Amino acid sequence: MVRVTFYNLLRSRHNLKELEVEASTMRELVSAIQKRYPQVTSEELNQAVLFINQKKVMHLRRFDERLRDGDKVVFTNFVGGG
Amino acid sequence: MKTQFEPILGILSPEQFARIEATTVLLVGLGGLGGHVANGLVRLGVKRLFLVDDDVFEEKNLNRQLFATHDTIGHYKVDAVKQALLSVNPDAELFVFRKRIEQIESSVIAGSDLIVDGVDDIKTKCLIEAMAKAYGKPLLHGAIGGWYGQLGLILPGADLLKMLYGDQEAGLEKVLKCPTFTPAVVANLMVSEFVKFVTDQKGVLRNRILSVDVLNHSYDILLKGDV
Repeated sequence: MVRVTFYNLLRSRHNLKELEVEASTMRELVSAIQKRYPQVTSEELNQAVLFINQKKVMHLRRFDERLRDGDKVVFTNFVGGG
Repeated sequence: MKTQFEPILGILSPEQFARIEATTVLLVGLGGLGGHVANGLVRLGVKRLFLVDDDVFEEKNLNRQLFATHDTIGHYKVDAVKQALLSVNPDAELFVFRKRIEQIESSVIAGSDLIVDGVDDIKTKCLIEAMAKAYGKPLLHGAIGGWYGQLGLILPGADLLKMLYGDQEAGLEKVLKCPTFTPAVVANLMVSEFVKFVTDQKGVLRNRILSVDVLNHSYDILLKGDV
């Protein structure tokens, strides 16, 4: 199982916080999220930045990225204003 | 120790305060974040600050920038901030640079103990991180957009902003803009991280990026570099 947490905009817009899904690639993960929460658009997920186990950052649509059992994936958005 | 700084002795020893007072800070950007950080550092007792910003105050800054008033509109931010903060601590040594960070002499960067990122654009944030790395200086980063913010203390070589931003040029701030309260919240968290870092306290965000969400009251570590 992969534990997914949503911060910031996705949490606020869709009242999403955490879920656990069976997924071995990012493509499967995105598909599982959208199946459970059809209101979350692909555009929103594509715009998010992903943090894997607080170590790795992913920006773009690397859908073939492998995930491992126990991985913690965060979907959020960064900010750059001041 | 001047009377005005004494309340800090409730949480710090005189020796710890002396370290804060003796730290020279290079603060880049005096907008929403930077103005509040400058205010916090001077009120804390930091004596020597290099203030860098090439902008003047505009009406659109009034919503959030501490030193933007109808009296300071049209004035260079560095000059207005210096004037206001010298009335808080007349003994502070505030050196102002009406320039962009790229135009700052290397002796200024080399002469600072810590760099603060208070700028509002991602490209410049990454440039400041590269500069801090090149000069071996710790970088106190902060950023905001809408209800959301982030901050962390980045040691030279951790390259957390490069990882975080990649080749992106804008974040949520492009759409959500910068409201009144988020810069003040994040800036004051930056000031408390400054205190913790300079006085070697536990819990400092050393090579960590903390996500701050004031809408949902969520404070979470997003990214951990090697400590």
